Amino acid sequence: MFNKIFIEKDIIENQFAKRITDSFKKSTIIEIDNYYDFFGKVKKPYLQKRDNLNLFIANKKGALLKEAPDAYGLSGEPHFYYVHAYNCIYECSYCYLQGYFNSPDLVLFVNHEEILKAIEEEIVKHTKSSDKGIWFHAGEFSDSLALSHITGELPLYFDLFKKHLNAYLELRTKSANIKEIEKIAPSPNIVTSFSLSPDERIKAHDYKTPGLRARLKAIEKLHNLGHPIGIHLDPIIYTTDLEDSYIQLLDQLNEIIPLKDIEYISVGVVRFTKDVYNQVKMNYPESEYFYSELIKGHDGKIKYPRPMRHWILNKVRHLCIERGANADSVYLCMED
Amino acid sequence: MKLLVFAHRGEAQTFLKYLDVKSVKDMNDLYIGDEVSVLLCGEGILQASCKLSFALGKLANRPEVINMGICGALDQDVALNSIHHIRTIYAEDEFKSFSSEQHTKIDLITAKKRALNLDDSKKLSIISQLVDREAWGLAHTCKELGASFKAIKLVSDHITDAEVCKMIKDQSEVFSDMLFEHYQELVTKSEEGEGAEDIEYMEIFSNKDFYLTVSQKRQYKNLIKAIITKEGITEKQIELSEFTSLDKTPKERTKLLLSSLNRRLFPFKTKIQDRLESLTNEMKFNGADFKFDKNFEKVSFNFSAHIDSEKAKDHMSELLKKFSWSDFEKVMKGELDV
Ligand code: SF4
Repeated sequence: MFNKIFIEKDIIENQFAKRITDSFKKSTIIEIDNYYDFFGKVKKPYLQKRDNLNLFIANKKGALLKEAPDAYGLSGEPHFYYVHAYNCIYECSYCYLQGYFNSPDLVLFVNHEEILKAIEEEIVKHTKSSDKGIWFHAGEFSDSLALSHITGELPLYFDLFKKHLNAYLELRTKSANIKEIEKIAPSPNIVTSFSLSPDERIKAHDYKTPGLRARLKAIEKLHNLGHPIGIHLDPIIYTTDLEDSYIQLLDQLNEIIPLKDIEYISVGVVRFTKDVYNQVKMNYPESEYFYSELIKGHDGKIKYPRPMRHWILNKVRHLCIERGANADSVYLCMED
Repeated sequence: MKLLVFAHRGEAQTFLKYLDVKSVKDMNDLYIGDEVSVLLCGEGILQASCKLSFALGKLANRPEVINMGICGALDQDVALNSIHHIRTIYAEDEFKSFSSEQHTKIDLITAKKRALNLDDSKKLSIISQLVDREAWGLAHTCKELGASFKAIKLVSDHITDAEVCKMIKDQSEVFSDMLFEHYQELVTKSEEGEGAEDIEYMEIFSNKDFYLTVSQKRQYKNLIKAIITKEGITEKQIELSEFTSLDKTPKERTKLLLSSLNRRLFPFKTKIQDRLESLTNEMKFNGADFKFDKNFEKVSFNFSAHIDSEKAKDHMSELLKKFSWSDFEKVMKGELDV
């Protein structure tokens, strides 16, 4: 999977780092002082992730938590994300990471104790001043579960959140990799959320990710084990058969988990910043985005025209509610 | 027109012998020919970049620049004497990189100094498998001047602590022969590929049933290209007979054809447009004009009307009163079935 593995000298004995290097015995391992001396220091083309992907194992320096933007999750409660990795083994054509770092190489951070300490401090601070919940999300810069069987940190996160039931943890994924979570007892405040699209859309845009069937199977297993489930119907990419394809998707989902039992369903349409759109153009010049109905909005973002965005979001929301989802558990990712 | 760039005369010797090129009076190391020219750019980023800029200024047309020559391998698995088309070119201590070939997996870094030891080699090998002394400077210059660029490199040695310069010098004729052979193969291949170039989208331009202005031709090309990609069809599969059979002038037919292609490519925008059309139809019929935001982002519009009498003014006021703002808002919120 990885061409070369770079590991910071200080963390060679770190249990998580060891676990990772043990999983890739065939890769060349190179010791370095600081991942930052190499990662992103030269502009490495994004698509080299296909056949020239390196892995950095490092300590996350600087801020360990970041406040999440407003549209992140159900509103009314503070949201934070913690950074456990940079970049992703998957390759979604719309992924904003293609314009984000200067390299597609993967960085896995292993100072989980420090990250957990930062989370706990934030929870304690919040609890003193509010009786509302507080949310933490993994996976802002990577998929939360894709490599979780190798990174092995999830039990620690579960332990912490089980102590603080007013704090919520969201593990967001496009994978079907639930090997680790399956082993851990569920907690009502730890939500595993899956991003779903109709199968054809997954095949066309979520390269290298597990297909719809595998993701649904993973959802079914976790649900049966009692783990809370969230669903992200985001990004929706318009097709003329959009309504039918989402009816089919929601019916399939409803069969394995009643929609009313889902903690939340977020609905969003595909959108790009100008920079990411330019990257997409470079990486996927034949993509359907370039002959679709996307426009450049007044804010410079590339998106569907306003009536179309509203139509898509309301249509899909309506389909969810029609199939039993609680109206207030379906939220729309809207910027206007 | 191609400009072949080599660092040293030794690497270029076979090319200079067999290509029909002549030296230029006021620039040493530039040899110009009708189809192909040759430049010896020397070593080092600065030197290579300066010489190439000057040579490009000398040549009348912007050539395709190809850097050919030898390089070292940082990766022991890369075979000696193998020839590689470079995917991405990096430089030591430089952030920028330049990519040309997408189908190969070999990258190259341009090093700052000539003699590399094992430590240097280790550091550079984190980034690429090959190392040279000029490619990045050449690629950078081409990028700045808008010339296309690629690099083709022959692996002359593996970077070790051993002294290899002399050995390479002795072998330069052999290396040059190998590069020339490779170049000739490329030329033959590209000649075979010529002629199959892109002549699609042109058929309609010579069809007497249609008349397309220059901007309509551009519009048609873009629409057809998009529809072909979207629907996976060819231009021939786009039915023109429903337009040719119409009792219209070629200009009118063209307008109808373009509008139909637009509707086909943008069905949703067409739906919005139609809905707005039906909200404003009557007023338009009576001389009013509505301008909506072309991307349907703004919930507003410009309205103008031609009024030439008290009666016309009253009539238009009546119509405007009847216009439902809430229906317009509903359309802008995606309620298209109102
Ligand atoms: S799974 Fe998420 S992070 Fe990974 S490539 Fe897809 S969109 Fe990007």
